Amino acid sequence: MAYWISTLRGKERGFLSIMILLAILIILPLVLKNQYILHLIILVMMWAALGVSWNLLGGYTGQVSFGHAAFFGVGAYTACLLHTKLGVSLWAGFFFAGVAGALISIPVGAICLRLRGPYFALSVLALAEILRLITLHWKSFTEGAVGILLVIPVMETKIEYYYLILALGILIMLTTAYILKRRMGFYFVAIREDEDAAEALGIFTTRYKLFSLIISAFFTGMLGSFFANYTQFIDPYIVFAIGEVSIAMVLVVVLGGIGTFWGPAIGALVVVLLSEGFRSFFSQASLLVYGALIIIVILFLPRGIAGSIKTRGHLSTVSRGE
Amino acid sequence: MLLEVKGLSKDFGGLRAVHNVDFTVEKGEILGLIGPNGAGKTTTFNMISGSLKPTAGRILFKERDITRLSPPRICLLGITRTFQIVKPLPRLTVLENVMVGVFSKIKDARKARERALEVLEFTEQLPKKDMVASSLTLGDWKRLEVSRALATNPDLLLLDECMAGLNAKEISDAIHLIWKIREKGVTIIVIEHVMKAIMSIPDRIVVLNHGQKIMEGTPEQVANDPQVIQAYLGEDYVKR
Repeated sequence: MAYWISTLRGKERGFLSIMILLAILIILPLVLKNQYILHLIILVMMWAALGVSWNLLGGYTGQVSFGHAAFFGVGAYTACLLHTKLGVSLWAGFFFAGVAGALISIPVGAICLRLRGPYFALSVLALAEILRLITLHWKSFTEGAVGILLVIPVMETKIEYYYLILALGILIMLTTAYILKRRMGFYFVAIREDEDAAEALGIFTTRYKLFSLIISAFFTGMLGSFFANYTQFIDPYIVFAIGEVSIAMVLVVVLGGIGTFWGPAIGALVVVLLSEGFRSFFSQASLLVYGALIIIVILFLPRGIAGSIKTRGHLSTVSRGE
Repeated sequence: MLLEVKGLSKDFGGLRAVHNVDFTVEKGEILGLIGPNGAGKTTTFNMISGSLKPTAGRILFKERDITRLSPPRICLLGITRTFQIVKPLPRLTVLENVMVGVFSKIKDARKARERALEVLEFTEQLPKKDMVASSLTLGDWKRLEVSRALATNPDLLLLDECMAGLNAKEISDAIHLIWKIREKGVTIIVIEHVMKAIMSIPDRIVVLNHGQKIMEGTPEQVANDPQVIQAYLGEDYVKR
C-alpha cells in the first residue's frame, strides 16, 4: 500500500494510538494549570491544522503555494469586519471566513492552475501581498495599519480556545482523510505524480487542482478567524505576513513530511517549540538559526520527519511497500 | 467505422512532423502504425489522444469530431492511450494506479477497487498489486500502462511501443495480452518496432515515413512492399 493511504486505513494499532492521543489531548487542559504551556499547545494545534490545510494542496496535489497568508488574512479580516461593521456573530464568522478564503482563491487558481511550473506558487504570493496593501491603505473600511481589536472575542478562557482549536483541527483532519480515501483524493495524488498520465486517464487536472485549492483555502480562512479571535487583534502586517504565515506554513509541512498525513502535526510541534526556544536564546538572531535548521532538514531529511521515520513505526504514513 | 483520420497534419515550426495523413479504423480490428524513427507515429497518437492540437485535418471518433478536445475529454469518450516513455504514478501501488484509471467510469472507491482487481487479474498483474509502482521492472511498467489504460474501459486503445525494451518471454506475453484484449471487443491501434509483434498482431498496417503515409495493407503486403523496404533499409535492398 502506498504510504499516503496506509495510515488512513487505520489498522488496529494505528486506530488505538490515535484514540490514546485524542484522550490525552481531551484530558490535558483539565490537569494542566500552566497557562503558558496551554498557549503553546494551542499554537501547535493551530499550526498543525494550517499545515494539514496547506498539505492537501501542496503535499497531496503537488501545487506548492507561497502565499497561503492570503486566505489566512482574508479569513481573519472577514470574520472581524463582519462582526465590527455588521454585528455578525463571530461563530458564524468562522464559516464566512472559510467561504471568503475559498472565494478569493478561485480567480487566481482558475487562471494559474492551468499552467505547470512555479506560476501558481508565485501568483499566490503576489495575491497575499496585494491583499496586504489593500487592507493597509483602505483605511475607511479596514482601519489600515491601526488594525482591528476584537473587544469581545468568541470565547474568553484559554481552555475554551484549546477545545475550539482541537475541534477545528479534528474536523480538518477528518475531512482530509475522508477526501484522500475517495476518488477526489486519488485524483489529487495522480496529478502530483504525473500530470500527463492523469490527463490521459480522464482527469480534468485544472478542475481538480482548483478543488484542492478551494478546500485548502476554506480551512485556512477558518483558521485565520480562529487566530483573530484568539489574539483579539489583527493588522495587515500580522495576518498577511510572508515569513510568519505563508512560509511558516510551508515549513511546518516540509519539516514534518510533505505529503504525509501526520507530518504537519509533527512539523507544527517542532516549529512552535523551536521558535519559542530560539526567541528566548537567540532573540534577534532566531531567524538566522531557523534558516540554518531548514537547510539541515532539507539536506539530511528531505522527506521530513514523518517521511524519514516511516519504516520504524505506524505513526508515520509510509508503507510496507516502499 | 470507429475512427476516421482525415488530412491530419502537424507542423513544429518549420518541421512538418505529420503531413496529410488519412486512415480509418474499423470496430474490432487491430491497426498497426509503423515507420522509421521520426516518421510521426507518436505525434499522430498525441493528436488522436488530444495532447497535441493538429495544424490541419480532422479526427472523427464514432462520427463525432474530437479534433480539438482535451485529453481527459477524449479519454471519457472512449479512447485511452499508453505512453512510449512509461508514466507510472510512481509513489502509488500497482492497484492504486489502476484504480485511478477505473475512477473515470466508477466513482465509488470500494467498487473501483473491486474493478481494478478484476483488471489486474485479466492482465495477470494481480500478484504485484501492492508493489509501489516505482519499484517495478520495465516489463511490469509497460504492462501497468496497459492495465491502467484498460481500467478506463476504452472502446479504442492506443498502444505506443508497449514492447520496446522487453525480453523475448515478455514480448510473447505481451502479444498474448493484446490478443486477449481484442477478444473482449476492444479496438486497438499499435505502434510497434518489434518485428515478431508487428507481423503477428495487426489485421492491417499503415506505414508512415517522413510524416506521410506511404502504404497501407496486410502485414504480408507491407513486408514485401518496395517502398517500405526502401524507407527502412535504403534503395539497395529493394528487389528489382
